[in-house]
Amino acid sequence: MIRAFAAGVASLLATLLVASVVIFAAMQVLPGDPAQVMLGVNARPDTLAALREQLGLDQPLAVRYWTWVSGLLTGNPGVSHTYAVPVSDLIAARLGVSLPLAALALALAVAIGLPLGMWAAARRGRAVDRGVLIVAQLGIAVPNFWLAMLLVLLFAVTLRWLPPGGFPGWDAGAGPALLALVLPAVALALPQSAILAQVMRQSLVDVLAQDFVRTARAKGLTRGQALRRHALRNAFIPILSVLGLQFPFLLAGTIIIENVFFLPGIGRLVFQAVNQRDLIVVQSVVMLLVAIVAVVNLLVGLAYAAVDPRVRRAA
Amino acid sequence: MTLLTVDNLEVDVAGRPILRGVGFTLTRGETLGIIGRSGSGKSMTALALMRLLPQDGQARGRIVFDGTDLLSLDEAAMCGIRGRRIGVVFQEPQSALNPLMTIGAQVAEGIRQHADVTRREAASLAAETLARAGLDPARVSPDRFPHELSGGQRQRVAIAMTVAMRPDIIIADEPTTALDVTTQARILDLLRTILRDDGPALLLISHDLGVVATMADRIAVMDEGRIVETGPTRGFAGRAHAPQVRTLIAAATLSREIAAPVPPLPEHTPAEHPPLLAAEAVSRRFGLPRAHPLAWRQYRRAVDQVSLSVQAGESVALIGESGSGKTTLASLMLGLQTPDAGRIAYRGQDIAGAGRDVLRRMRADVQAVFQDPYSSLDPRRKAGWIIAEPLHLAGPIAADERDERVAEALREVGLSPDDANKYPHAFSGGQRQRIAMARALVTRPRLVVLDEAVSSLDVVAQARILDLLARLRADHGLAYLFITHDLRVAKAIARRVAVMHDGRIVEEGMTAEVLTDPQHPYTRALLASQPDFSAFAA
Repeated sequence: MIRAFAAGVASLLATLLVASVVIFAAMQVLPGDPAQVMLGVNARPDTLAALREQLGLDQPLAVRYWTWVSGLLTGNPGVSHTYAVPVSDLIAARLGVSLPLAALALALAVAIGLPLGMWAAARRGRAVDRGVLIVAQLGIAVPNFWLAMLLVLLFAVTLRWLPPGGFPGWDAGAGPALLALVLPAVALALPQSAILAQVMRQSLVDVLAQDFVRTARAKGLTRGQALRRHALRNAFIPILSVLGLQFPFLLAGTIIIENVFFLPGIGRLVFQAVNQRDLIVVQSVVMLLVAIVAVVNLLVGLAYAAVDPRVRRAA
Repeated sequence: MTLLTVDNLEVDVAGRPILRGVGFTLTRGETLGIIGRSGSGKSMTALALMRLLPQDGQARGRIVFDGTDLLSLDEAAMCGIRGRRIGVVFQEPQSALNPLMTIGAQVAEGIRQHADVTRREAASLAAETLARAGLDPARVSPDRFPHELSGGQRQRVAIAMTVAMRPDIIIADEPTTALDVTTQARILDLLRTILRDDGPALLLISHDLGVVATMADRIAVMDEGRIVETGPTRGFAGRAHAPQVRTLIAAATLSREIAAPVPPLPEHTPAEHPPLLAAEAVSRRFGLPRAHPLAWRQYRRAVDQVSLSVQAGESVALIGESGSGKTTLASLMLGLQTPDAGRIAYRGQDIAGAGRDVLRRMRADVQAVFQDPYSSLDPRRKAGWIIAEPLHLAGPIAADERDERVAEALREVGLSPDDANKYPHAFSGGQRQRIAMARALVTRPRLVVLDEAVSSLDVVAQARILDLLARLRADHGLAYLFITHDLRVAKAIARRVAVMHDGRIVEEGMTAEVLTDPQHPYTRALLASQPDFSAFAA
C-alpha cells in the first residue's frame, strides 16, 4: 500500500512537470498578444513595448517559464494582466465557489445514482429496472443548462424557495452561500447521476451473474445477503473509475452552468481569461486543473488498491 | 436408507424444456455418479436440487430430501438447507470464489450463516477446515486471497466451504474438469478422504467417465434431459444397453474406431530433409513483478533451452501440466513470440532472419487451433468470413475461388457449406472447434499446432474431433503438434511424445515406449494419475 502510494506520487510529479512544459509551450504558440489586447488596436508601438517590458513578456522563454513554475511552487504564479491582482488570490476566490459546487454535485450524483442503479439491478428485467433505464437515458440526453433553466423557473421563479442565481460569498454566512449552490448542484448532478445509475446497474448485473455469487447462495446466504456481502463490493470497482472522471468534469466543465446561475467560479474565470489573453491566468488555471485531475487519479488508484487485493499486489 | 428421492423432475428455462422427467434416489453415504455430454442437463439437475435455477427457470416434480419436498419449501427454509444439509462444489475454481474476500473469510461465512458461533470461533473452525482440505495454514494462510492460489488450491477452498458444515449430501459438479491430471488425482483423493471421515452422500457430476468410474458406487447416464441408464459401477459398461451410453463409453475409452492407425513415416535423413518445424535450444523468460521499485527485475524461465522438431507428416504430442511452458513453446514455434535464446527453424531456415516471403509461406504452411472454442472465434463474424480470413492474409484471391475453398474446408471438417452463413453462437462447442479446424485447413497447411484443442469438449465431441484429425492426416499427410495435458488423447493421436515439466522437456520418445515404460519420475506420476477404468469395464 505504501509502495503503491509512493509510486503514485512519483508518477503524479512527473505528470505535473510534463504538463507544465506543454501548457507553457501551448500558450506561447497561441495567437494574440496580451499587451495588444490590453491597449487596443490603436496603441502606439512604444507604449506596447513598455507594457510588454512591464509584464515581463520581453524576457526569454526559459526565464519566463522558470519564473512561472517557481511562482507556482511558492503559491504565487504571477499577477493577472487584466485584473491586476495576484493570480493565486483570483483562483482561490473562484475555487471557493467551484470546489464546494463540484463536491456538492458529486455527492448528490452518488446519493441519487448509486441507489437507483442498485435498485434496478436487484430487480433486473422487471418494471422497476426498465423504468430506471428509461429515466437514466433521459437524464443523460437532457442538456444540463436547459435543466438548469427549468429548475430556476420552478424553484426560484414560481415557488421562490431558492435564489435564482448569483453568489453572496462565504462572508455572508454558510447558509445563504449553500442555498445559492443548491440549484446549480442539482442541475449538474442529475445527468451525472443518470450515468452513475446506468454504470452501477450494469456492473451489478454482471457481478450477480458470476459464479461466486451462486457459490454464496449455495452456502445458504439469502439473495439480499449475497448481494450486499459479495456482489456490491465487486460492482463498485468500475464505479471508482467513473467517479474519477466525473469530478474534474464537474469542477471545470461548468462554464455554462456558472453562466446560467451567475456564479463566479473557475469555469467563468478561464472563459474570461482566454478572451482577454490573460495568459498567466489561463496557464495557471489549466495547470491547477491538471493537478486536480492527477490527484484524483492517484486517489482513484489508491481506492482501487484498497478495494481489490489483486491490484494491491500488482501495484 | 434413502436420503434423497428425485421424482419426475422437469425444468424449463425461458420456456425451453431442459430436464424432462429426471428420477433417481440417493442413499445415505452413497456416491452416485451422473455422467453425460455437455448440455445433457447434469448441471441443471444440481441447480434444481439446490433451488438455484436461473431467474427464468421453473422446476416441477418432487425432490424429497429427508422426508421433505424441497420444491414446496419457502425461500427462508431453503436457505437453511443450502450449505448446511446439502452443499455444492462447482466446476470453476477460477470464478467460484469472491476475488475480494480472503479464503478464510469465505469459509467462515458459511459457518456463521448456519451455526451460532462467534466470529473468532468461525475463523478458527474455517482454518481447521481449510487444513482438513489439504491447505496447510503454514503454507497457505487463511488470510490469502483467491488470486494468490493455484487452480487446485482454489478447488480445495471450494471443497472446504462445502464440507465445513458437514452436510448430508455433497453435490460436486465437474469438480476436477478445469484441473490437470495430477491435480485432479489429488482432489479426488481429498474427496475420498472426506467421504470416509464425514460419510456424506456424494452426487458426482462429470462428463469424464474415468473420474466417475473410480469414485462412484452407482452411475446414472443423462442424455437430453433424461436419465437413460442407471446401475452399479462394477460391470456398468458390460450391462449398458442405451445407445447413448455405448457412444459415451466408446468415446471415453477412445476405442478402435477413434484411434485410427498411425501411418508409417517415410525414412528421413536429417541432412537432406530438415524437419518441417524445429525449436533449437529455445528459451523464453518472463519478468516477475519487482519486489520494490528499485529492485532488479527477477525472471522466470517459462521455456528453458528446449529443442523439439516435427517432421512432415508426423504427429507429435507435447504433454505437461498447466504452467509447464507448453503453450509458450507453441507460440514460439508459431512465431507469435520471439525466443530470448535459440532459434526456430522452418524447413531448416531461422525464421528470425527470414525474409517476408519465407514467413508468408510459413504462415500458410503452419496453422494453429486454440483451446477455447467460445472465445477464439469472433462472435460478430459469420463462420465463412472467419474461415476465409487466412486466405486474405496470403494475398488477393477471387471471390468464387475463396467461397469454393471455404466450402471445401467445411466439408473436410464434417460441416455443411451452408454453415458458412451462420454466426459462431449457432454452433456447439465441438462444431466451433471444427470451424477453427476449417480455418486452419483453408490454407492447405502442412502442420497444424493444436493447443489443448479438445480439452474443453466433452468426451464424445472430443473423440469425434480426434477421429477427424486422424482422417485428415491420412488424406493430406498433415503433421500435428498436439499440446495436451491428457495422456489418453496423446496416446490416440501421436506417434511421438515429449513430456514438459518446469520449462524443460524431461522425456521424449515414441508414444508406445514412453507411455509403457516411462523413465522420468514426472512422467511416471503423470501416468499414475490417469483414472482407472478396470472396475467399470469388468
